[in-house]
Amino acid sequence: MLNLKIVKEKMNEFPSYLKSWVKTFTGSLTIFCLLILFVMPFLSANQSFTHVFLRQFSLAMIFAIFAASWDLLTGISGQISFGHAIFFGISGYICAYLIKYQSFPIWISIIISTVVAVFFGLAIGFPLLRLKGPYLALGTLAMSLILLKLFLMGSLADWLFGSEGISALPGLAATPVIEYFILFIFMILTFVILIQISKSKFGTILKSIRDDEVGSDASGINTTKYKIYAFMLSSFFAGLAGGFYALYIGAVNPTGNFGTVLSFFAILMASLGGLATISGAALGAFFFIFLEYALIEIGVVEIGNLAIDFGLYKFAIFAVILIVIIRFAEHGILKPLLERLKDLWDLLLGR
Amino acid sequence: MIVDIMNMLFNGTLTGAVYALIAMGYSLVYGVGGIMNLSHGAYFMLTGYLLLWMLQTPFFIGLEWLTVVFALIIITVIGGLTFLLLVKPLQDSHVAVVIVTFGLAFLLEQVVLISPSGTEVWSIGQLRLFQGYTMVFGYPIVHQYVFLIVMSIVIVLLFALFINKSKLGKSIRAVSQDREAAGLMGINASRILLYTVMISALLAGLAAFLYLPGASLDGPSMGWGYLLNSFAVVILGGMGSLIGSVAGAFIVGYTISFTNVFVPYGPSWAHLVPIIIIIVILLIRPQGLFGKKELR
Amino acid sequence: MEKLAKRIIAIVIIAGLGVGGGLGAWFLFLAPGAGEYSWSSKDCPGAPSGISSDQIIKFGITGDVGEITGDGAWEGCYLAAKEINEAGGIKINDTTYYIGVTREDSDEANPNLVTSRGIAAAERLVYNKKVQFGIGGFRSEALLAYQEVFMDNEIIFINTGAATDVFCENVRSWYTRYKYFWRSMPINSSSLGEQIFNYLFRLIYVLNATYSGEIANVGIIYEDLTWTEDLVTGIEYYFGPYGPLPAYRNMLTANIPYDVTLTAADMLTHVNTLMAADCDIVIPIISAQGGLMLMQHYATLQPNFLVVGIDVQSQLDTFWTQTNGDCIYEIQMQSIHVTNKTPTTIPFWNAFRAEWGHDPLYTASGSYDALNFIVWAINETQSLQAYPTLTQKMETATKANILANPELFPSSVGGLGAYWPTTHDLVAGYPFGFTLFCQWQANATKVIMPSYNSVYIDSQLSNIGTLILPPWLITDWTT
Repeated sequence: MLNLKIVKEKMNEFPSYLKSWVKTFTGSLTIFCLLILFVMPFLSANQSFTHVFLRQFSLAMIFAIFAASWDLLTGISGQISFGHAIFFGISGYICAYLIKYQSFPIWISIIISTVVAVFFGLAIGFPLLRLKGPYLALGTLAMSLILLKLFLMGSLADWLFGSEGISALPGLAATPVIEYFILFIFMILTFVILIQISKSKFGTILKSIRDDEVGSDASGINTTKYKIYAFMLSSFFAGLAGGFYALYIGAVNPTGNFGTVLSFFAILMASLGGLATISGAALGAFFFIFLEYALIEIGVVEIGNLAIDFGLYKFAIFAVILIVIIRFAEHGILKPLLERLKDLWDLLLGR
Repeated sequence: MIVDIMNMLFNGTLTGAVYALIAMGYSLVYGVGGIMNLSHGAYFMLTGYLLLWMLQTPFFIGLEWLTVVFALIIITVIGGLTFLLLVKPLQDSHVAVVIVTFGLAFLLEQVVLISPSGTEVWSIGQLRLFQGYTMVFGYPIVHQYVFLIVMSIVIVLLFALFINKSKLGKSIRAVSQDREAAGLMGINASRILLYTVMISALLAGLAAFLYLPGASLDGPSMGWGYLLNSFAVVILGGMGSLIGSVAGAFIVGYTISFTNVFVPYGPSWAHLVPIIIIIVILLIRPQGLFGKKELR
Repeated sequence: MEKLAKRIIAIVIIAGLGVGGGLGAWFLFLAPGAGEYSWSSKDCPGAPSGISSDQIIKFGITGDVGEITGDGAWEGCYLAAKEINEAGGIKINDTTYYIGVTREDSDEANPNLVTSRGIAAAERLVYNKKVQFGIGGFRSEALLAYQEVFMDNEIIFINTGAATDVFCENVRSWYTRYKYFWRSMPINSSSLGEQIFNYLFRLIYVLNATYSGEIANVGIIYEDLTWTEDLVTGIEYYFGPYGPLPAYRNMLTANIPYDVTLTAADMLTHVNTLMAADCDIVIPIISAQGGLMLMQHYATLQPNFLVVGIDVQSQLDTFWTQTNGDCIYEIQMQSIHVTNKTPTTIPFWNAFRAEWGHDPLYTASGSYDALNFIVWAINETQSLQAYPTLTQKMETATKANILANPELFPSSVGGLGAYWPTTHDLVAGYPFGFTLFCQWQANATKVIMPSYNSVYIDSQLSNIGTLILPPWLITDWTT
């Protein structure tokens, strides 16, 4: 299956491919954004910057990885998942358990927990694969709720740590800046891998399954095999994000790591950015996290006698923005945004 | 022992009657338009809070029954607006409909939460029609719930009659069977869908009016639990099948009450049962007990 | 020409975006001191205007904004700060300081808990607002996560809402890290359990003396979550076959753990199960909506049992209107009510009602005590150093010291505030941390029950009423 020759050729092509990509509009814009993200931590040593603002970036990166993994499964392969928190949560729990009770080093725990998440992807993906569309969505949702409820039960607390979970974990790194760079590197890796996958032959097959499953089956593609691969790949990255999240928080608990709300976070972020674009997930995650940050920062605004507490109303405002964006930009904000910027850029260059 | 059996039967019927009303509308909307309306649970919740807010307003003192009329009208209108403003423009995309209705449910929940009575649990017992209970085989049967069960059965029968006999009902069936053919026959499918969503919201509102005065308002997030159990009901009965959702509602109701009464430590597992039903049915018979063969 | 104009416009827009974004970022985050909260007299209720930031002792309150528990913690702190500031602040080495309070929304009462929000709230308090002391906390799993932020920065944090034992056990097992953690409210779960058993034993004894041994069975109904586990284990032991008191063995006939998402129909099933099990006393251990459902069915079905236990929602003064009076006859534990737990309890109660217009919740009295406790230590030591000065001073507030010289220690409102020096936990037991058993009686009055000297000395407390049994229960027990 793996043809070394082709891989070698691709490797040789790689630098020139990169060069031509940088020259394109999206390429240069991406490099520009990454540069901004790269210099970000060096801008200020102020604690209110590094320990509050940068930490929000780290959180956004974790969710970007998580949302991108959902996008691979749902956007690219068309397998709607409403229970992505399964992989996110199980990986976080395994990671926390290994560190706290088996004294494993952090990185080994993350690797093991990610592998366990892949096994969960296999175990859950396999039986549910014959379901389609909303049925698969409900099946995955039900799976995540079963796990959530089992972990919540006080009577199972001896085995599953109960509603209070595992706490007092060490941080991912000594300082928020190092944590930021670790997550930054992993986010870039995730996105490079996922985007390459979506552009590769494998990705094309997944897209063909999404668009016409019967057709691709008829043309000799083993759809079951590819759907399982998609499930496993997706759960790998979701698991990675889950492990990082557990260490970012320093604790795991059932609602905080298995909650349906986390599955919906992934859905919202990826679809805000734009389904099946992968990089839209990052845009959605950053938009989502920083909208909340901004609303809390704005706080109470007094207009005449009327005091509006944006911090208190943040979820209502969220909901309105979400509805408006989905209603008027069904395919996310990434593509329209890029087009506008490109028009502006073309004008600038006088084209 | 006889008391336990009575306990299981009565509560199963009660739960089933409530879910029959909620799930019937949900299933109808899915069957007619293929629309997965996640704000359906929020309609149920919002009706309860609309009743509460109106009961707390001095204007309605002595006019308690007017609140019911207003609440049902408002919720039907909200259902209609959901379809016109949010669902209709996005109809072609499953994911977009799901997300936008999720957003609406979330918004309604937050609006209730921000309201002055949003953070506590409330009783709206003023709207109970019947007080007291009767002992049957040593088991106290609460009159209000008997009323609920009877009304639920009546509504289900009327609804079946409406779908099968009335002109609008026939159009709804036509659209659900074959949308394009119905269009050729001069039926405006989009308008039919609008009516269906409004009817489903009305049914959720009716369920809230019948059930909540004897129960309680458990906070703004209560809608999700009912939505989830409705999922179990419609998956069990088959998406889009009316008989299926009624039968499914009672099966789910009886399994919940059976777990509650007879299984040791059952009460903490009772709400896992509907979820396990979802999984099992999806794996064994995805189209449900009464569903159409093909899957959308 | 047109092209050139467009090009210029585009250049202007892009340059504007870039410069604007850069400047905005600079002013918001990068300029010296940017992003930091500027403390002023607006944060110090009752203080004179125009005081500078270094004159303020900064307290950060965590909790859910807009939810009763988080608002309670804030309201208690606000009141305490206001009282101290109006009395002229406190003097440290001849400089006058005022108490500043600020809060962040940790969103911890949300059923769909997102742990990162609690972490973000704590980080804002610590790094942005540079608080010197933290007060608050309610949901165990959220607090377990964000307490680490305070411990990392060696900031004293007083928990005013989570009852799980584990927090203060941390202090014992890893003192070097968790020595900054304290709990002022409520007493821990084990002590809560102990007090409810003591009360029940006496209550059953008294009732049996009056109604010739009619009380033979008890039942428990509780949320199947970690916080109820210890209590339930205790009840199962005391009323089980191996209980310490022979007369109370084998009394437990119904044991119902339920999923927190239960509906009223489920609760109806459970009430009927309890009735079928012939329970005479039912012990609820409930924090959420289950309590209201239980009392609603209780009022309708008039079953032959008495409800005595923990029902957090029932501690609110609005519970009567919330249930339309269905909560009548319920006996539940609450930390504070209008009685002289200490001499300052009733003045606090009245001041709180005057300030906020409703009764204080337990988080409010806890945070009020917590702030006063810290301020007392600051005043005594004339220092703001968390460790060792303040911690060691606070650790002198032990049971023995307070009993010997009560005038040397701060007055607290939720019972005499004594702490175990090794665990930093509130000492339980009369006259320190103890709960009041209150019954809802006719006309929306909540009356403190006599505890028959099992939990508190009845004659020492004011406003103690009498137990009123439901008429149908009296009929049942006398016939």
